[in-house]
Amino acid sequence: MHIYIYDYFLKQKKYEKIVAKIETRLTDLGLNGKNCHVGPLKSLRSIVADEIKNNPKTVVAVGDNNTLSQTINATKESGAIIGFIPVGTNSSIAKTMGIENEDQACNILSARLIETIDMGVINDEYFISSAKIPSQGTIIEINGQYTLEPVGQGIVKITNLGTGEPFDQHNPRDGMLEIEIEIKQKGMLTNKVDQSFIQSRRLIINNLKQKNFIIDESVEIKTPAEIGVIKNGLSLIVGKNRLF
Amino acid sequence: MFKKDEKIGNFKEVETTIGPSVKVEGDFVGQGNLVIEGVVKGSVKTDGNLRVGDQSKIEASVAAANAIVSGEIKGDIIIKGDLELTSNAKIWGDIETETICIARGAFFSGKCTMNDTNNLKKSEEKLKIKEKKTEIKVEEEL
Repeated sequence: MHIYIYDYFLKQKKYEKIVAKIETRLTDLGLNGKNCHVGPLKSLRSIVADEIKNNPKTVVAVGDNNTLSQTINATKESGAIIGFIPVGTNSSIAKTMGIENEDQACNILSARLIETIDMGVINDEYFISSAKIPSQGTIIEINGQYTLEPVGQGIVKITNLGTGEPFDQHNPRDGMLEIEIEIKQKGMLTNKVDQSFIQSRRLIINNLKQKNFIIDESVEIKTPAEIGVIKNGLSLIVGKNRLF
Repeated sequence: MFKKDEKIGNFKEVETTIGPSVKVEGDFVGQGNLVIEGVVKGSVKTDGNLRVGDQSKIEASVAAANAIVSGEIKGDIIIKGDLELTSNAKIWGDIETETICIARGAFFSGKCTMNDTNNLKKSEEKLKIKEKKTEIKVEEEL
C-alpha cells in the first residue's frame, strides 16, 4: 500500500489545483493509497510514525526538500521505500533524483525504479543531500586523526548526494561523505573562491560562533555535531534521468 | 630528462585538496592523490601522488608515492618514486627518494638519500618504528 504525505504548506490556495491534479493522476495510474494531509495539530513525523505501523510498501512525500527530509527521518529503520512528488520552490533534491515536476513524479512512481543509496547522519538526524554551516569559527575533526580549520568567510558543506552541476565527485553509494570548504577571497577586480575537498566516513564539527547546520536546505541542527554515513541506508524511487 | 606526464603521477584524478584558506593539524592520511595549498602541521602520508602548491607551508614529515613541491616543507620527506622541487620550493629536512629533479632557485637544506626500492622499504620500516615510538611516548605522557 502507498502512503502519501501532503505537507502543511500545500493547504495554501495557490497549491489547490496542483494537489488535485496529483491526486487525479495517481488515481489514473492505479497508484491509490492513503492520503495523509499534515495539519496544525499533527506533525508530519507523528503522522508517518503512526502510518508506518501498518507496514506500507511505499511512503511518498509530497512537498519540498523539508517534507522529504522529515519523511525520511520519520521512517527510520522501517525499511519503507521512499517516493517524492516535488511541489514548491525548494525541491532541488527532486532534480538529482531525476524528477522534473509533479506530473513526471507520478509516472516515476508508476515505473517504480528503485535505487539504494547512502544516508548521512548528523546527531541522530538523517540527511539525504547535504549539511551546510558557515566556515567562520568552524573546526572539523576527521576520524579523530586531524583537524581542519578554515580561515575566512565562506561555507563548509558535507555532501552525500549533490544537487549541483559538477556531479562527478558525489557518489551516494561509496559509503563516504564529501567535505567541501569554500572560502571567498576578495581580489582587486574579481572575487576568488578557494576550494578544499576531502572525503571521510566520520567527522565531528564544532562552531565557536554558535552557528547551526542546515541539512537538506531545510532543517536546522545545533553544533557540536557528529556526522557519519549509513551505507545503503535508503531506498528511493527515482527517475531515469537521475544524477547518480 | 624528466618527463612529467610519465614520471610524475597523473593529478587529473585528485581525491583530496587542501586549499590556501585551510589549516590542517594532526596526522593527515590519504589514499589517493593529494594537493596541498594551505598550512599543515603534523604529518602527511598518502599512497598516491602529492602536489605541494607555492602558497603552502608544511611543518610535517611527508610520505607519498610521487611528489611535486613548490611550497615550503619543514620536515623529512620520503618518496617512493619521483620527487620534483620547483624553483619556488623550500625544504628544511632530509629527503629519501628514488629519483629527484631540483629546479634552479629551489632551496634545500638537509641530507638527500637516493634509494633503490629495497632500501626504501627499509627506510619506510624505520619511519614506522619511529612513529610507533612517538605514539608510545605520547601515550606514556598522557
